Amino acid sequence: MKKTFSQSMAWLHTWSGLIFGWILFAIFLTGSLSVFDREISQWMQPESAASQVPATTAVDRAADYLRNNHPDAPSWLIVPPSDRSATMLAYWQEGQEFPHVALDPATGKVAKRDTDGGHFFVHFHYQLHAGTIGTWIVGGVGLMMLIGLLSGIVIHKRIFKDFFTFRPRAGAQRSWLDAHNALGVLTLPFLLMITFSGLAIFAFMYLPSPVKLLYGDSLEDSEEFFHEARPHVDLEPTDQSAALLPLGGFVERTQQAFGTEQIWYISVDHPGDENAVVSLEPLYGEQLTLSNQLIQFRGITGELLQKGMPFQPATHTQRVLTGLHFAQFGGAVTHWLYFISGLVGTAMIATGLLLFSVKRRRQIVLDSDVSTGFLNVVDRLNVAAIAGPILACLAYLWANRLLPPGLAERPAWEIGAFFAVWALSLIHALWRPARRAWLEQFTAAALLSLLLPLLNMLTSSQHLLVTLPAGRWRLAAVDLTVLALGLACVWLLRRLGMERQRTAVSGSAAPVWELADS
Amino acid sequence: MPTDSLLSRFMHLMPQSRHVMSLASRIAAALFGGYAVAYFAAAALAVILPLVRSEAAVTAMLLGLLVYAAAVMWVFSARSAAHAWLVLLIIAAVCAAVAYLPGMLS
Repeated sequence: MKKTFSQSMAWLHTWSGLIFGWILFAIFLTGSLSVFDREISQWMQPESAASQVPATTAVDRAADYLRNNHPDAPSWLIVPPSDRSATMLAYWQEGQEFPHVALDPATGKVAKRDTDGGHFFVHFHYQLHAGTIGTWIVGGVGLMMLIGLLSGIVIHKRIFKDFFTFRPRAGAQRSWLDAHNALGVLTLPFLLMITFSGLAIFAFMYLPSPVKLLYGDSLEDSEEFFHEARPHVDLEPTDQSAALLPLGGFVERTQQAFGTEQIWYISVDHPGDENAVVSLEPLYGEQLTLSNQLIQFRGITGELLQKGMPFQPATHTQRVLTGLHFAQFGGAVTHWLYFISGLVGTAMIATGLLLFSVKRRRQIVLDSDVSTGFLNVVDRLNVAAIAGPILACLAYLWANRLLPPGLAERPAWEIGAFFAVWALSLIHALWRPARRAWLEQFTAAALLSLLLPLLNMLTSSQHLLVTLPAGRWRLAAVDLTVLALGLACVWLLRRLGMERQRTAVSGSAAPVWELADS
Repeated sequence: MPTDSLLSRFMHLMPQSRHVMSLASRIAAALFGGYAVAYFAAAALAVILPLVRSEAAVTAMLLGLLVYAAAVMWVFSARSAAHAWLVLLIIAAVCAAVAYLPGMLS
């Protein structure tokens, strides 16, 4: 295709980066937000934020809710309140689906201000709100991210030297390239890990051939595989109904068994049956691996079935990758490192997208392969792909405060606001000249971010003036992070203005947003 | 001379459209040929690896993902799209034979 391996990798990196970068930005942004899904959920349900019900009492109330509303579901799963979230989640199985509802532990009823909360970001970043097809799309895009990283390493011959090179005033193209390289190299180990581990979680879905070959094609065959790979006890339902022991007792026994207060989840298989199985995992395990801390009991007698059955090596590897991706281990420091690394990766993707047209407009790419018309489209799509998801996430939080708390189908309305604002961002970007679109959309993002804490003060009792004096950092951090985003937007806008003036004086080094108008 | 100008315009487009066709073929090779290689390589690994079957399956799936990434990168550095297709299909066929022939023969 090109003369050397390095040249063809440069071509691949450039073009796949452009096409897939448009969606990768949104995936990395929402993925980074997913690290703090519980804190965001908590922020989105301020009415329940103050309740402090112990997990033992809370799960009993959740079980009551599930018993009253979904007694025949094949399984239940409860995420009890933790120090990260005062609300709890109750899931029930419907076929292959697991719908859920947020409950207020103080009342055991559906929490006021029904919302998908931070869970929406988790869901979006691996499904794009499009079900199984979405998981396949994210898988393809994730594979291209992996290829983008690997081809980036190939073409980046001066990887060590460039790590220390940043020339912010060296002209638009050079400083965007430096920023792209520095951000990418800085977070390279993280990005490789998070991309590959994300693919590994769904490896079974993406490459089903080994299981089909060794086990068979049917659903039962793949269940057999999961059973062998994940050591746990399964009991067949007997169809003899029996009364489940109070779930709070199992929480207490798990807390004692692992010496931790925080329980990640408690699940019950065939809850009304004599062979009901209760499974629990503690949260904030000291180990990376999810679910070798699994503990299981008989739901009717309370008999211990198993505790921490060991994994075999390959399965253990896959579980460690899953654990690395889910970031449930460690504490606040780990979470912030994940969040910041994720955002740096997001910024790396954004700078890469900008670089594409900067290089071509300045004819650094000599055999310029694209027309100016194409670059105009690229610039506009860049606005919708970078400013769009930021505005959409902010709109999601604004909708949470502005929609009436008792509204029917409330979560759907909030998610609707997310997509509606993203669509508006695209329409606006296509309508306005690219430079104006950047300015206007980042101004909108700055305003939405800076005003959100104020809106919070007007619409809830859990705002900064309350949460800061009370030292409720997890809640305050949501407002403060949004404020920081607002300040970052203001800084970016100021730089846009400064560049413009500098260009007007010197008549050179027109930056991306100027060129975009031509 | 409308025929002439039409012909010359067509001739002018030829190299361009051949380039586009070859690029499309290469992208298709990366997407589908690469997936076929990853799919059958994972199946072959699952058979070859001397492990308990759940372990063999998990190892094969994880390595298969890397095979796909490597295949896509290779397709874009291959001499030509046709060459890329040929090599990918041969590898996929060999892997499929290793994976499925023993089961068919026994």
